[in-house]
Amino acid sequence: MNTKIIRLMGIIFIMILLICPDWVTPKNRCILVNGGGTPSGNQAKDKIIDDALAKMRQIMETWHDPDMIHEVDRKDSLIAKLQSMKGKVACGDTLTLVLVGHGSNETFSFTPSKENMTADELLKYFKEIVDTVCCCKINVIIDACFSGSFREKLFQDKHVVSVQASTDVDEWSWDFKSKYRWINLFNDDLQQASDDSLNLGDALNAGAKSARDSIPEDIKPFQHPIGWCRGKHQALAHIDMPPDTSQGKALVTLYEPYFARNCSRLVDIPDPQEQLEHCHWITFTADFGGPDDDMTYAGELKLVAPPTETIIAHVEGVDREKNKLKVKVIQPSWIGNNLDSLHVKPPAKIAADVDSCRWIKQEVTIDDPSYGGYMTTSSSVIIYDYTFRATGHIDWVDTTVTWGRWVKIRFTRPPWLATQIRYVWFPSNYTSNITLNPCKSIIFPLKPDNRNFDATGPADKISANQASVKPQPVQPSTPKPIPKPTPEEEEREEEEQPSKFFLGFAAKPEYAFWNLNDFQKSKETYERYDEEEGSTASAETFSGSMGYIAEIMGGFHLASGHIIGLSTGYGPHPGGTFSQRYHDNTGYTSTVGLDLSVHTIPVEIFYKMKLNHAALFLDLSAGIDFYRATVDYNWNYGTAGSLKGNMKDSGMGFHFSIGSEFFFRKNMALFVQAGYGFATLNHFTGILTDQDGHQTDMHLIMIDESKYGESLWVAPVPVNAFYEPDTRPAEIDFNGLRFSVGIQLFLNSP
Amino acid sequence: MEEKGIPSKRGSISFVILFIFIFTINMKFGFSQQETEILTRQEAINLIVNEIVQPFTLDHHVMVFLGTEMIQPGRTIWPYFDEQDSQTITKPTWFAWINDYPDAYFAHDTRYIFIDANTGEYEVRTAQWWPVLDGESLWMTDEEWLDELLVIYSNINIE
Repeated sequence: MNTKIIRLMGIIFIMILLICPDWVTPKNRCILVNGGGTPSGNQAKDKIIDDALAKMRQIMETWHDPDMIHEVDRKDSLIAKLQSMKGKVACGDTLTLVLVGHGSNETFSFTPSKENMTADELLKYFKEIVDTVCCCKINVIIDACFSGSFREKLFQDKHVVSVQASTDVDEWSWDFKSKYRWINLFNDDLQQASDDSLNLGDALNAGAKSARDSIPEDIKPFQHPIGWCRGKHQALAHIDMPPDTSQGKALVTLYEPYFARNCSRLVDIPDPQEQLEHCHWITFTADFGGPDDDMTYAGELKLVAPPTETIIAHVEGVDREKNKLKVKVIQPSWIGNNLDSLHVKPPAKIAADVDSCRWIKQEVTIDDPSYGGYMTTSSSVIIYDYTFRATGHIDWVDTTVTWGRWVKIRFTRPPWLATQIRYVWFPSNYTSNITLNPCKSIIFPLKPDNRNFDATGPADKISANQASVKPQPVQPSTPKPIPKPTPEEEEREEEEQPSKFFLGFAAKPEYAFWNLNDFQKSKETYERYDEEEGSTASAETFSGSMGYIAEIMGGFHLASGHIIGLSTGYGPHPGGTFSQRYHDNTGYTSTVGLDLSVHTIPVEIFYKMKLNHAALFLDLSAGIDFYRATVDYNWNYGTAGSLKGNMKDSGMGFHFSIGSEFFFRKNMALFVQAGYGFATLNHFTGILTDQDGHQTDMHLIMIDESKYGESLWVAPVPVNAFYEPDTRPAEIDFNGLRFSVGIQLFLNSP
Repeated sequence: MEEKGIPSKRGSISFVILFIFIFTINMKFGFSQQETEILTRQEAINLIVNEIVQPFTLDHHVMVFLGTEMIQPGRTIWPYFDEQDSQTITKPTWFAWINDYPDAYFAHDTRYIFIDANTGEYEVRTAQWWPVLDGESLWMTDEEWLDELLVIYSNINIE
C-alpha cells in the first residue's frame, strides 16, 4: 500500500515537472527603475538614462526571460511590482534591481513624478517579498548620487547578496556625458561578461569591477564606486601581521576580491605548510558576509607573488644611489597616497632625464600596500608623455607675438592641479577656434611637467556664454620667456608683423630757458652807470634759445606696448646777443657785443608705453648732453680802437623729460616733450685781436669792481694778467626748462 | 526809458522765479528718479560674476543662470525636492542660480542668489536641487542650458 502511494506521488511529481517546469526551476527576475533626469523627463539628461536602461535590458536577457524583465518609472509602479512578487519568489530565485536617476542620502528620486524612495522603504518591501523564503537572492545596482549610502542599509537583509553603487556614501554620481556615466561603463563590461558566458552573479561583479576602474581621470578623485558581494570568493591578501602576533589571527590587507580592496581584516588562518611572514602575499578562499561582517577563512591557502599594476605617477624625488623614486600615484586610484616609494630592481635603471616633476608610467609589483609601503619595478624607468584634459580660468594673455600666446591659467581640472596657477604656451593654431581673453574659461589637452606647461592640441570651444561680464585682467606675477616660433611661424611673422626692433628719426625744435645770470648782472651794471655818471648807456640780453635738433633713434619691444631704446642727435642753438652801448658827456662812446652760439649732442635712453588709445604713447627719457659754446666778442670804442675774437668752451650736462606721442600714420608720430636740463660752462677762452692786429690769449671773466659797490660785468682779460679786485670765470648756465614739439619718422613701425 | 525799464525788471524777476521753479521741479524729478533707480540686468550680471562667482578663484566647474526679467514680489522659489525651504519674494529681485558642479547629477551643491533690484544687496543660499518658481522648474531643459542669454557664465563644455 505504502509503496503504491509513494509510486503514485512520484508519478504525479514527474507530471507536474513536465507540465509546469517553472514551478521548480529557479527564476531570475529583473526590475529596471528609471528615476529620470529632469522634471519633464524628455531632455538629454533623461535620454542618457533611457538609453542606459535599454541597453541593460538587452544584456539582461542573457540571464532572464524577457517576460521577467520589468521597467518602472514611478514609485508606485515599483512598489506594485515588488508586491506582486510576494508569494511567487521561490528558493534559489534571483531578483536584480537596477536603479538609475538622481539621489540623495539613502534616497532614490523619481524626478518627473517628484517622488522619493528611501533605503528603509526598499528594505521593507524586500522583506515583504521574501520573508517566508530563506534562500532567494537579491542584487541591487544603483547609479545615483549618494548611492553608496544604500549599501550598509540593504545588507541588513540577508537575502541581499550584492549591492553595486556608483558612488561612495557621500559622493555625487558624475558626468552628464553618457559615455562616462557609471551605468554605461557597467553596461560595457556586463556585455563582455555576457559574451564570456559568466553566470549572473559573476557578471555583475565583473561589471562593477571594471566600471570602477574606468571612471575618467578627472572624475576619479570625486567618485569612488563601492560594492559588496556575499559568499565565497578567492581572496588575494597581503599579510600585515602574521598569525602568531595577532592573537592567533592574521591581519591582512585585501587586494582581491575587488570590492574589498584595501580593506583590512583579521582572519583565522589554520597552521600553514609554510611559515607566513610579514609582507607575504597569500590567496585563499574566504566567506564574506556583509560589509560590516567578519570574513571567514574557507581553505586553499597558498603563498603567491605580489600582484602587479600599471601605475601613472608624478615623480616627487629621485635617489639614484639607492635606485629609488618617491612618487605620487594618480592611477590606479586605489593606490592613492598609500604608496609613494618605488624601488627599481637592477639591472633596471632610472633614466637620466627622469627627475622631480616628471611623469612615469610603470608596471610595478605591489610589495607592501599598507600605509607607507612600497612598490618595485623590474623595468627601467623612463619619462611618460602624459596628456590630460585640462580646464581652467584665463587670468592673463600675453599678446606680444603672433605665433602663440602665453596664457596664465588657474586650473580647475585635472583635480590634482585645481586652483594652481600656471603659464601655458599655446601655439596660434591651437587657439584658432576660441577667443583667448582674460576671464574666459578654457579646455585643452595639456602635457605638464611643472616646468613647461604646453598645450598639446587645439582648445575646445566653450559652449555656453562667457562674454557677459567686463574682463578684469590680472597681470602676471612672473615674466615667462616666449618660446621660439617654428620656421613657418617665423616666416609668417616676418610677412605679417613689423620687426621687434625699430629705427627712426626725429626733427625736434626745442626751446630752452637758460639761466644767464652773469649777462643779466652786466646789463644791470651798465644801466646803473647810466644813472650815476650821467652817461647814456643801454644793454640787452636774452634768457633762452630756440634750437633745432635732428635725432636718430633705435629700440625694441620689451612686451606688448612697452618699448625701450636709445637716441642721439645734433643741433645748433643760435643763442642770442648781449649788447651794450655807452656814451658819456666827454664824447666817449663804446659798444660791446657778445654773441653766444651753442651746439649740442644729446644722448638719451627712452622708454615708451602704449596708452589705452592704441596710437598714443607715453614717453620718458633721460640722458646726457655734450655742449660746445662760442662767445663772439666785439668791442669798439670809437676811433680809439677795438677788440674782437671768439672764446669757446665745451662741457657736459644731463637732462630728463616726459612727453607723449601720437601716431597719425603707421610710421609717423607727432610728439610733445617737456623736460629739465643741467649744465654749466665757465671756461671760455680764445685769442682776441685789437685794432693794431695784436693778438692776446684771453678768457672771459666776471669783473668785480667794488668801488662801484656790487658792480659786475662780463669782460675778456688776458689769461695771465693780474686783475683786481677778485675775479671769477664768467658762467653760462644751461639749467632750466625745455620744451619741444616735433615729428618722428620710423623706418619700421614700433 | 522808464516805462520800458519797469517791464524789463518784471521780466527779470519772472525769469528768476521761472528758473527757480524749473530747477526745483528738476531736482525733485532727479531725486525721485534716483529713489526708483533699479539694478539693470547687466549690472546684476556684473555683480554675480565678479563678486559672487569670482571666476579667477574657482576650483570647479560652474554654470550660472539668470532670468531675463526680475521676479516680482509675491512669487515663491524653492529647491525641487525641498519645498519646505521655499522663499517668497518680497521685493523686485534678480534671481540667479549658480549650478556648482553641473557635470554631477543631483543632489549636489548649488547656490541661489537673490539680488534686491532696488539696493543691489544680495543673499546667497545653498541648495541641493535646481530652483522651482511657483511650481515651474527653472533652467533644466537642454535649450536653456545652451541659451547664451540665460547662461551668464560657464566654464564647462556641455555639448
